[in-house]
Amino acid sequence: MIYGPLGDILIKLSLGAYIYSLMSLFLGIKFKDFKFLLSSRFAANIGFVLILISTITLVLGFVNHDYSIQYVADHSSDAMPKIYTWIAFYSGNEGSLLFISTSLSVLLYIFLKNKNLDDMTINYSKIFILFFLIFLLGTTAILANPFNESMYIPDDGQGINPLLLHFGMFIHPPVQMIGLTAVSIPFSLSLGSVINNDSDNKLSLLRKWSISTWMILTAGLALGSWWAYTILGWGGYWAWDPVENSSLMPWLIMTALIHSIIVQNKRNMFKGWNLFLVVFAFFMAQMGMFINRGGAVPSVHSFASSSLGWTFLIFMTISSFLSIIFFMFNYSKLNSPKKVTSVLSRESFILIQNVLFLSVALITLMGTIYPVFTQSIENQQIYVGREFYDKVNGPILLILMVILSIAPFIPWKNTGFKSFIKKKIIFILISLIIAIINSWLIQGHYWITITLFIFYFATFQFLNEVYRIISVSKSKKFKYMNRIKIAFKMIFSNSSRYGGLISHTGILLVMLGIAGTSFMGLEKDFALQPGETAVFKNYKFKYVESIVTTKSDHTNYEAMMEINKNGKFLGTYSTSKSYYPRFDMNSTKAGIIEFGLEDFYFSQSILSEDNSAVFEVKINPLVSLIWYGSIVVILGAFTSILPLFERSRKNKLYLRNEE
Amino acid sequence: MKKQLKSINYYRSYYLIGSLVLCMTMLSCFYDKQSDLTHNEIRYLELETKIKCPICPAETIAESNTKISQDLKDFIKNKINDGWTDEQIKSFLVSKYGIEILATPDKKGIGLFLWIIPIIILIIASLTYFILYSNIRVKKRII
Repeated sequence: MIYGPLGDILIKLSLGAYIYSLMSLFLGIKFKDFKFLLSSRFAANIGFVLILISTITLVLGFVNHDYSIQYVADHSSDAMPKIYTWIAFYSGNEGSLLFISTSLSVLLYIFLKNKNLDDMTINYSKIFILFFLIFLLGTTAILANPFNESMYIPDDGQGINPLLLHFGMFIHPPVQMIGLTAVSIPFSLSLGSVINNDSDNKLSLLRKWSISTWMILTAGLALGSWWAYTILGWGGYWAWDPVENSSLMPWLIMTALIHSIIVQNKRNMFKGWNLFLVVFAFFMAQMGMFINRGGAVPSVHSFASSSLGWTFLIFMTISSFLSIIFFMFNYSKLNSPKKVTSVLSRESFILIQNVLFLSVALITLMGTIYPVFTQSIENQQIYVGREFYDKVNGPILLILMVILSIAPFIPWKNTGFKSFIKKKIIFILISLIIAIINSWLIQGHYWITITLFIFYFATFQFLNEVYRIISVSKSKKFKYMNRIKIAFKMIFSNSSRYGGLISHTGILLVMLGIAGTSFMGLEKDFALQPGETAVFKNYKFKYVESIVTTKSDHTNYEAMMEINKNGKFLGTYSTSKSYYPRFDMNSTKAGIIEFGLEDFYFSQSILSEDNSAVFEVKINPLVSLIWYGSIVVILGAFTSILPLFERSRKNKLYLRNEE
Repeated sequence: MKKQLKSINYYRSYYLIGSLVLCMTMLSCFYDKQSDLTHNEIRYLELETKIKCPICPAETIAESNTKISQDLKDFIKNKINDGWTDEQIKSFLVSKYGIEILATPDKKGIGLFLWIIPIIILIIASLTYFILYSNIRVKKRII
């Protein structure tokens, strides 16, 4: 069929267009000639269209089962559900590289849209983005081309990895990949603005791109943990797996960055520090790509592992080396005259927060690559698991929560210690008392007391802020609906502050969810015969029967369970386990029933000949707060970058003059 | 003036009631692990996340579903019931499978440096803070 050669030509043409665009950009900047700049932009747009069509070609190849393409034959089959053929193209190494390149060119297109041609900052930034894009596209076209033809055409393909057959496949991988590539845009933008000495004017643009990138990364993390919770069948959402870590690290640094940008915006400080953060974030994003593809560290996410790690390693080394040199050469530009004057000030707290986030990221990085060191130095394979991260990162994250609850309510520049304590003492006392009573009632661990104290303290502060909004908008003239309108207007008039507060509320919810599952989660294994009943806490459940269905590529074992809570019948639920002989792999679908904020989770682990089964039963309190909290976080981040686009009239004027 | 004060109190009471309701909800959500599981069961739950499945890429036996991890889980359950301590079980498994059976290395030998790294990083972090902060001060005084 035609898809293979067509896609191959398109991807190479697109690479050519982008290389032309880069060269023309260089000439345009050198000779200050708008013809070259215009030509560069056209070439970039053409490259964007070409690579988009090329991706569509690959998708069509999958949908029409074109097994003459090697990659399609390796990652799909006739038996797989029809709907998954539309997205199977990013399930392997080559296709996901193509996806990454496509998403970066889409981002480049958005980045250049409505920007003046004579805006040199944008032109300088474009150089960096184009370099990265050409690297990705070149790797795809030359070293890992998804359109390579098969040696012979098989009747049926290999099929997709069964773990990927899940609804999450539609959103988590693309969001995660877009997030990791999007880090390159703030990186390029801040380098470009430093070259052009224009960082003050481009700050709001940088802020918007950083927050959008951060938002995408957050969504990727949340979706990933939700997927792990529902499909992997072990009842957890975060395993500190190397690939999970590699997506967490850029997120941590971006979190630091979006906070310190505020300081640069409000107080004109931290210029150099921000540049360092953004360079580091880009380094971490590339590290993530390298860990995901290079297979240097064993991980459960080995869907896209390949021998291409070295190309990413080389690019990462070169880019970070150049960034350091760049940093040194431009150091004088980055010094800002204003300084931190007091420990108890917003900027000082943001600095502490930044430093702590960086530490968490570095500790996670070290834990992730430590096995590589031991392997190469002492030739001893070891693993670094959750015990390390929980013990080390857990307390630091709690300290960060304390900062979260204090910092948004501290003024800039300076505040007296006494007045600060005076204002906060009531909150501290109330939350401390409630936390102690709370954990005394449940006789919990002292960690619970600390966590609850921080949670209550922050909650009271936030409620106080809500109260402030309401009390300002209240007036006898206005009716109830109008008051809500005014409150909304207040929020949107200072969207960056209130968006931030909404995000922080979301983070608090996520934190409560994590605390609930890790301190309060219950787990037990039950071996049951069909018809047998068991009791766990206030749940009573009966294993009814097991249904076996055989399909062309897998066998499905479904166990039905009748569940009672507090003596009330709740219904019959099922958990299923599918065995895929071609992969010698099991995929589990756990039975998860939400009762309010508490999840009853069960999955079957062993099924014997006589239909007796072992069930892993878990009660996860507050776990759904993690997903809802993440939604709140993303909504808050979205609010904070409103309005999305600032009108640029200048642009249109410029074009008119040119005509 | 009096009216205004009244209306503020009106809202404040709402806000207080709201936070109390919130705390009550939290109270009902939190309960104790001890009451529903025996001491040995809690020990088992902790131990199973510390042992790695020998044939999986990066999963502990708690997460993995393979035959060998089921056997290891049964082994740990039996030994806990026989009265072995956590250390005994771990060192037995290490002697049998090597140190790579541990999901996280102990704070000795090859794993010692891993546990020192965070301390080093935190020291560097606090130095960074103070340098960025005090550098600043010195310059100001000179000016």
